[in-house]
Amino acid sequence: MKLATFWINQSLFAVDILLTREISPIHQITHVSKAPPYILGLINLRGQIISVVDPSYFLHNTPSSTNKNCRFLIITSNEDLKHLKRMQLIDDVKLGKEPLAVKIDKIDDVIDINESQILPPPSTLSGIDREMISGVVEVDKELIVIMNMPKFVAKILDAENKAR
Amino acid sequence: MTDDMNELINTFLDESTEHLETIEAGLLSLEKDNSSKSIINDIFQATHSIKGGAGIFGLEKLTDLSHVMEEFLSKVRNHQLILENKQIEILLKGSNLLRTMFSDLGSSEKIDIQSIKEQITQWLNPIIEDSPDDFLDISSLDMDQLLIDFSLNQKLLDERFKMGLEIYYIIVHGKQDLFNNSQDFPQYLSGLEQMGETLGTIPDMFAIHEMTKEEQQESSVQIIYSTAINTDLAEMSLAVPKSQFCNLKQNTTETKVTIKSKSGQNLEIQSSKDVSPSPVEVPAVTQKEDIIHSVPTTDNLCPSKPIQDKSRKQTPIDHSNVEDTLRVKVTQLNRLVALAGELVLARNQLLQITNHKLKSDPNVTSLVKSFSLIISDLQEQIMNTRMQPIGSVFKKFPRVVRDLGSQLDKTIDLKITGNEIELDKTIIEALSDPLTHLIRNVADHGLESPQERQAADKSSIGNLHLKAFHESGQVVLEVIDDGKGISAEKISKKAIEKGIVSQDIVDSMPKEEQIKLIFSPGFSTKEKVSSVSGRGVGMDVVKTNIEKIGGTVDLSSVLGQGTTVRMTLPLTLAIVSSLIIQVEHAKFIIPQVSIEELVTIDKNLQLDRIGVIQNNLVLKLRGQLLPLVSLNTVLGISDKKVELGAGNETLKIVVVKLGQQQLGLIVDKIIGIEEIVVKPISQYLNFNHLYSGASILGDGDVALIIDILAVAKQEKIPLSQADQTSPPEVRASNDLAKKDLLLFNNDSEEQFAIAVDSIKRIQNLENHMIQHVGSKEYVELENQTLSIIRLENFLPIQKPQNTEHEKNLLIFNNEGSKVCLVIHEIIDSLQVEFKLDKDISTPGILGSLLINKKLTLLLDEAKIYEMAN
Repeated sequence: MKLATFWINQSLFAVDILLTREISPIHQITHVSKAPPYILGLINLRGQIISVVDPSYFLHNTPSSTNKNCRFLIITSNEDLKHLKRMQLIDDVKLGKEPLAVKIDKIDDVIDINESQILPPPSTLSGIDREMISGVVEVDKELIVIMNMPKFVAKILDAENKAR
Repeated sequence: MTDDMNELINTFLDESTEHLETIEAGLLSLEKDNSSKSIINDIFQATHSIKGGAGIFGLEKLTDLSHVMEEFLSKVRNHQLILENKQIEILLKGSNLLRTMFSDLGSSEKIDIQSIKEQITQWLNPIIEDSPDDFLDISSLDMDQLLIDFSLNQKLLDERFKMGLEIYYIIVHGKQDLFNNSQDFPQYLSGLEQMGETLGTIPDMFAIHEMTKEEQQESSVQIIYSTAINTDLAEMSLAVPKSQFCNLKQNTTETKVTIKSKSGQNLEIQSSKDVSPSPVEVPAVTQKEDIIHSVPTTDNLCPSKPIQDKSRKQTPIDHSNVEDTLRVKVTQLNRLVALAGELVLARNQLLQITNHKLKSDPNVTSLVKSFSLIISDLQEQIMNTRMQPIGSVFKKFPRVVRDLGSQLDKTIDLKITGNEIELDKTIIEALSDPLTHLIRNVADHGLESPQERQAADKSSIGNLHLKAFHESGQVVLEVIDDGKGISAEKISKKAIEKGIVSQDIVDSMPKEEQIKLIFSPGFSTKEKVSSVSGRGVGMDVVKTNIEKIGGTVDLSSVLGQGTTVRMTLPLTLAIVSSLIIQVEHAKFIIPQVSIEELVTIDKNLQLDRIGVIQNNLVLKLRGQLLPLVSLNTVLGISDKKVELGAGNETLKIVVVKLGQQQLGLIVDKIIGIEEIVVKPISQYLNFNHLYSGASILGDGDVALIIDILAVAKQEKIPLSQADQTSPPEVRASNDLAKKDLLLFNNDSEEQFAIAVDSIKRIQNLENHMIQHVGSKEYVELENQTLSIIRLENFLPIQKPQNTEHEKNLLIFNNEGSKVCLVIHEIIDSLQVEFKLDKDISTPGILGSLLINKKLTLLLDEAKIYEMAN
């Protein structure tokens, strides 16, 4: 499987590339007042309005800073997944009804790994919600944490339902 | 159930709804002219398609009912039955039942169809068991129609006539003609073949061969037969009575047919002109339960293929429309609309770049220009695909009006104009309910009974005009009647009775405004609730529904001459004209429909126009006090408070309307008006209900659309005029005392009142302001330490439900007391005449009184200080 790897707060993360739509340069974010801290606001992605989340709130519990390397990792919607499921490229996973932009500090690479290479997340993983990690993979002696995107999206939606 | 199955059912439902519309429209036009063969055909095929679909899904009752209707129609089509108005009535009822079933397929099996079924079969049976005397006497025939029915052409007949052959049209009845001679149809037909050539039969040969003996007994077959046998010998050779056949040669010059029944009734059957006599247009014919396709029986017939009914396009009355429409999924359409939007934005960016960098190259600029034009056109065309003619809503009203008329014993002439006016699909869909309501209202309340009309010197037929037209970029819909009009007095009286407005307010209103009280919530003038309209919900629902789609409703009426309800609708929901405002650095959108006016106030010169009541800002505008809120605070953008005294700036206020209520929103900057494309609010943002959507502004920025209603709710601004203007109803008799009272509650069900003159002022209380000393609570205000008293600690009353709730403090006039009272919410302040009921009095409570039908405890403030100290 192919993974897109990226940096959040000096840690290397990865996500299944099939679950991403694109990586977009940083846009003007429209702030939404009274929003939870992990919602950064809304962006205009070629005419589509997309919410932006700051994953570091969940992964490190600290807000991230913005610099010129920052990118938006656009996570696809359920609508797009349907097509992938039909082609049996992915398992039955669920994301949001609409795409979601995840702010990352820097894009790294695209790596091709074997699913057998994925190790279960170590129990000592600190500061990260273990639920959002589907595993760890070692590439070139570097450990990369694979994010469980469906869980991540569900967590955000869930947090909002609770907030209401 | 699988997705596929669901999709199938949905398609079936969609199609069936269209079929039902065809049936109803067809029946209604048959009522005026029952001879149009093409309409009967349309209805028949629609019924058949419904039956077929219902059969596939195993919906027995649906199949049953549509089958009976189909069978009846097939007889009508084959001239075996004549369609009369009372039968149309029953068929309409049948289609109504079908509609009910479709509205809830799950419970369609529970619906009782027996009585209608019986009524329809009742007409079917006499035909089947007819005695020979009642058979049709064929005196002349419509050749064109006959040829169409048999899928023959004139040339074919002419060839045979040239050869000196005779051509007969024969009707053979199974029971009388054949079975009494122990024959059946196949035998009879093969007998004919020996003496000549069978050119066509209805039902066709295949079907005849497939029929059981019993079915044959009850059937009749029409045959066109060419033979050398002359008319004199025909009766014997054909083995049927003279009345059942005729020689077509003698009829070729005639174009019109009169079918005479034995009862002496003459009915003209004309072929409808819009059916072309091409062989392909062969209507399928039924016999008993099976649908049978007309198939040429001999080789020299025209090579028309059997036409599958099921595969046939749905058959609207207007045949010319059939081929040029296409069913497209709405989601796909929406995606196209979205893509077109993206394309436009990409184009805008491209334009910007070319303007800056490539100005020097004329080739590029001209290319970009044409590119840009094409995209604009493309977007417009795609947006247009969502547009639908308003006729799709209007078309159900002839039926509705007809039913209402017969229910209410009124004759109503419905005139519809502007069927072709196009509106966005969403708007079209939302219009159906309010329009139905309005039309019912007109039929029930608006138009008088024929007797009343004649007495008023009007024609006994009530006129109702449904009209759509364009006006200044919007679509106007009018429902006009020439009924009795609306009496302003009656409306105002009712409105006062219902406590919607007070007498004073009504007196100050002009008559045109008074009748608009009919739009107030909870208003319905009809004394008796009728089955047609008047179920307590009324015009306010119409108004709300129209406003929901961004429209407005207006009403004008002349007593004795009629009423006009005028609705103004936007062409499309997707694009809304809006005001763009700015608060701090953020831009927001307020839809123009909810904006009343913009007010700027010079902080130095006009500050007296802003007042403070109970810590809340109000705007004095033309003798009215409007609640004023700062958008900054409402939306929680920053902590900055509105500073009234400082600076030489102006205060910018957007006055918005909420029904009849107005509200002033303080903003930092007014940017301008833009046509925006509304996008739904993101799934990830549903924690915030202050926004109704979002949009992309011309500069590419995202801005949120403010939901005025939600803002008002958050700020606890009462929405209906009733809350604002009606003086509280005070139940009091003799022994009146008059006093200014402040009404409040303590976050419990009880309501309290306190004399206004005992209160110095009211202060907002935040939890952090409270300081604790031992078990006592204090608050520091104006360099004074006041002891907080809570009513529940001194009086036998309910405890507050939640002490965390925001509170207010009542600070008393009595300087020495140094206490203040925690209350939850101020309800009102009013002057009332009352009689105190002393039954509930205890120390601290003077007694009780009724205010607005609610028991209110009047506090004894002096006693309360005493107890607190």
